Amino acid sequence: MSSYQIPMGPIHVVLEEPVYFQLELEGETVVGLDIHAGHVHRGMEFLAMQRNIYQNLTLTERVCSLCSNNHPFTYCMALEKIADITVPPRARYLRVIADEIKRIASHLFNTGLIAHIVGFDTLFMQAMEIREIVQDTKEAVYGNRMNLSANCIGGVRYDVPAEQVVYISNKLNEIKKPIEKLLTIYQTNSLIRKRTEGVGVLPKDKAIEYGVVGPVARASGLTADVRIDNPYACYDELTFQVAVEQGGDAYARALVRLKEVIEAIGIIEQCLTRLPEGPIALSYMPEIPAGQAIAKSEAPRGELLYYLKTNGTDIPERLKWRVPTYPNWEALRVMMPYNKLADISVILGSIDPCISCTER
Amino acid sequence: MPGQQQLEIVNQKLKQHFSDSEEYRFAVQERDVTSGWLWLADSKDIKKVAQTIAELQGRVMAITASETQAEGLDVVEIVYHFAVGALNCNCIVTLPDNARQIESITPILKSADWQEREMQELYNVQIQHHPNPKALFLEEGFSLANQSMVPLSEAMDGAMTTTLWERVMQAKKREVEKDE
Repeated sequence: MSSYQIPMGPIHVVLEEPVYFQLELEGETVVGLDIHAGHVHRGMEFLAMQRNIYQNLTLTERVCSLCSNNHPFTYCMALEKIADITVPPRARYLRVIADEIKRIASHLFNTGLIAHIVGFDTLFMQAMEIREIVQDTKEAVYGNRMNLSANCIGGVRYDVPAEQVVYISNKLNEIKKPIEKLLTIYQTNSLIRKRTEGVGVLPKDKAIEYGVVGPVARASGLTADVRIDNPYACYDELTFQVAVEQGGDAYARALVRLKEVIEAIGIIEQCLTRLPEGPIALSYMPEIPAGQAIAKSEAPRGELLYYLKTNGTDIPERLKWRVPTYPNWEALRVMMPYNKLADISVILGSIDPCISCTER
Repeated sequence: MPGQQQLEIVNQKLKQHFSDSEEYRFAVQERDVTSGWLWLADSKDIKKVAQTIAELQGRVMAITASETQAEGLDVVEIVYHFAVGALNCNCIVTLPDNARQIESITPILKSADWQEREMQELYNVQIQHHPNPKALFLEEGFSLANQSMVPLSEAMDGAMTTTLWERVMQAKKREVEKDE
């Protein structure tokens, strides 16, 4: 059978951001693909090297909307390593609370999106309705629904008084049952399973070879999770399970995300119960000496890496970040071939890609 | 400390690959993340390090290039950020400003693919023997090394736009021919 090419993107109904795929098909079956990125490359790393270390907190928070908290968080950790700053215990817990709230909202967005892509729009609405409770919580605690501005160098910029501890706990209780129901629907609904099971399979050996991270890696049987491998903030004091699935398909990736939402609720509850007393930030403005460091965190999409090199001035000599989606793109070359054209959007959605993150 | 075991193994493997200890220097930074820092005297040795990481089923997390100075000379410093389990291993090589060339490690570690291509187009470091060296973010054939101020639309990958305009121009040509 002769093959032919069809373009997908850069502007396409299932793509929230622009990326262009050149798909090679035989009949309805994908046999090859080429990825063209670069439509939203803005030169943000260059910008970061024109701004001072404090201004970069604001800039890094705007790399991505769904992982926005992880960027300034990880950037701060790199700075704190160079300047040998010890973050107060209460701030370490508050950092984790902010991060896990963002994780719940991000994962619910993706599981909703997958339902939308497979044509199950009522489930999409259901997931977004649960997410709305999380968005409200963010708005009430941080004053904003997406960019929380929770982090500062050496601590956090927000506190959670006793009254808000009760408020957050109540909101978490509110979403528990609906999330369990959402997970049950994902596990039992035939439409969801038919459209996601066996679709876009990434075997474990290929997951290792391509160096994928986050839920994409964990859905292929890898246990990689920065929160366990390189614990930061207060993760080493908390108890939680790493969600791992063996299927390696779009279905396994959705399950990993939903199970991580349930774990995230448990993590926030532990933090709220154990929240230590004390300061939330440094009482002085730190000076950053010359040095270099890397810092990592587990963003909703996986491992986020920051490399920072300073030279004693307040302008970084080099600031580089590698977002979790970045290593996952090439793995699409394994996931997409031998799938039907109609499943391409499901596969793409299942890696939860962030294109603005990738291209910076 | 997570990563401690891998640190020992990497250290042992490096000793096997490097005959002379003068060729590299290894130090450890332990705070939150177990990080090994490795300085290579010769940039060609990056393949030996990549081989070590590959043997341990490790991966490339990122590659950072930066323009800096060493001993009063302009240089390009490249930091390879590898991961082996819980260990983070950063390997630093330096290239003279006028000889920005390095061997590709993508044939050894697939995860270096996009990172090397990005470094090639944004820092003008020629990656030798890369299996797929085409432009990643910028328009094919476009080099940042020649210009400092570039309109965004010119720099972006215009693959789709070209296809679209080719069709528009062809349709227009057909219309003109019909009118004639």
